[in-house]
Amino acid sequence: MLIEEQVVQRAVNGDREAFTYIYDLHFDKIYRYIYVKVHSQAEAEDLTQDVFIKAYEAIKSYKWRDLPFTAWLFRIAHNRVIDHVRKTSKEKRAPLEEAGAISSGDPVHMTEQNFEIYQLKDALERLPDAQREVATMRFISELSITEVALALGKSEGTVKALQFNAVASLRKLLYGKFDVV
Amino acid sequence: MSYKIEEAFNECFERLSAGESLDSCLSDYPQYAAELDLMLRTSFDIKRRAYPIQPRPEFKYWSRVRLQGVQDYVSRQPVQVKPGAFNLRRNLAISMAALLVFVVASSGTVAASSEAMPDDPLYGVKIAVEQAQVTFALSDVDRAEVYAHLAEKRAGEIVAMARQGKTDKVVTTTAKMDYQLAQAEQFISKYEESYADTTGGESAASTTPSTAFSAPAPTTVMPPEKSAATTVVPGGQQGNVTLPPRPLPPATRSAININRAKNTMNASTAKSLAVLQNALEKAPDSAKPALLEVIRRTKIANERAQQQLNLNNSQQALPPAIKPNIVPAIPADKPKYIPPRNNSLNPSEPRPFNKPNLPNVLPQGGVNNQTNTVKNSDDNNEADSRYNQTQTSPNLRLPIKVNPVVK
Repeated sequence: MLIEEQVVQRAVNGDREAFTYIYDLHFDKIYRYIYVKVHSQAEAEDLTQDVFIKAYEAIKSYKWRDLPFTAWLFRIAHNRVIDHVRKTSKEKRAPLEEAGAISSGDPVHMTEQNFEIYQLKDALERLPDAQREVATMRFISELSITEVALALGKSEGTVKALQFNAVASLRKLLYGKFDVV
Repeated sequence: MSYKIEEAFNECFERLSAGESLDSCLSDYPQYAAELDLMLRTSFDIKRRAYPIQPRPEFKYWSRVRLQGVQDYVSRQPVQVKPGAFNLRRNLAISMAALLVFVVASSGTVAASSEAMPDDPLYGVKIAVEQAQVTFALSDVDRAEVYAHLAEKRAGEIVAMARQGKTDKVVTTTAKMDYQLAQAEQFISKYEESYADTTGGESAASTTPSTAFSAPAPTTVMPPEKSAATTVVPGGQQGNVTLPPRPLPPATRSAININRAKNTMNASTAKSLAVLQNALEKAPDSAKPALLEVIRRTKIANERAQQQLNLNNSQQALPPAIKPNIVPAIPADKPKYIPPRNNSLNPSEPRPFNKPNLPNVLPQGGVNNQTNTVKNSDDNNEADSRYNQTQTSPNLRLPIKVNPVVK
């Protein structure tokens, strides 16, 4: 944490290399977070880029003591996704695109993976907003409870409760039809 | 109790993520073991499913290049000072910039640099002049248009660099183009937002030039007593008489500006796309991958611009009935007496004698009855109800066990 704080401080002071390090560190997490919330890979890519450009533009005003950097970055991503959804809700929304997992070469395996991702996105879409937000940040972007709590402006206790309920709901949504025992 | 199982679940999840075994964690919470077992397996299955979601390597690379381009570009941007009532520093900076531009322009360097390419020594001057253009743009919408034109110029430069096989210059110029397109979009959005604020949240696109000329209430489209423009057409010609245009209200001017900027953005991206696609065939093989990526990006920008424009146009497409500026000519067989304007909209009041048979042009349900259905909210309600049903179902059985995959 201390190292990250130092790197962030360097980025705040205008060190481009430090910002590139931050970018490499968080890029995949931010992409995954956005990907499960939007309907296509292209949208996810555009929004991920926007998040980092916005972060770069705003980093001079960032202060670690107000909010840890990861939480700050995910707040930007969260707001950007909300803006995007608000804008695109005026247009006719496309159905969920076939999920785009990284290619593993085996088409059967790829199809299975894509189907599982599709199921996951679909199940997440059916969750209430707060549960979806917590589940996405916690299990897909792999943030800590503290980071999720700070990013969403909720207490850790609330986040733990939402996390538990989200997993219970996802279990029913993902395996409900096939539950054996 | 409920609080404790949530705590236990979180603790076990952390411990398992750190590499501890499931059994050792469950043994610490024997009272919740069965439920925790299922929940933990589910949570790790979610992680396993999400693991293959990774950004495309080429996207990650290009995104990084773009970020570096933005860093380069932003570092060269003049420091923007917030406008105040009287800001000496800002005024001084503008005066100095104006003087600088004048001096530079008079020396002929600017003229020479206008055709400079990214590998040219005068390219820096060209960029500086472009930045001055952005600085001197009067409004956000003008700034958006300037950026759209600049992005189009970048496309031309990319083509020139690609033909010479200078891939590194293609990449850096693409980053500049991306940034300028993003800025153009951002300034349009900013202008739209400020417009929406001033009109109480009304969509910019919903106030259109066509409605701006319309009468306030169609039933009042009666000729005023002494208006030259609304006297009866001599001889009762068949056809329409156009009322003189009224001065545009500020809201309408804003809507026109937004429309203009979106049109510019759309045209610029379309032109860039055409230029880039033409260049692809003639480009050397080494430059083709870079050029293909530029085309892909420009295509996305163009599609987005097109969508914005279509959205605008679809909101402008109001029923023809609410465009009452065109008043039908009074047929020859109708009486030529024009009664005084009846300003009252009260239908119970008697209508004036001999009223010309004008159509009632008020659309059913009013003008703003077109609503955009937000599909998502309905879906969410439906999903929530389904979710609630599954939660309360007494026949719910425990799901199958899924082997956790721990990274």
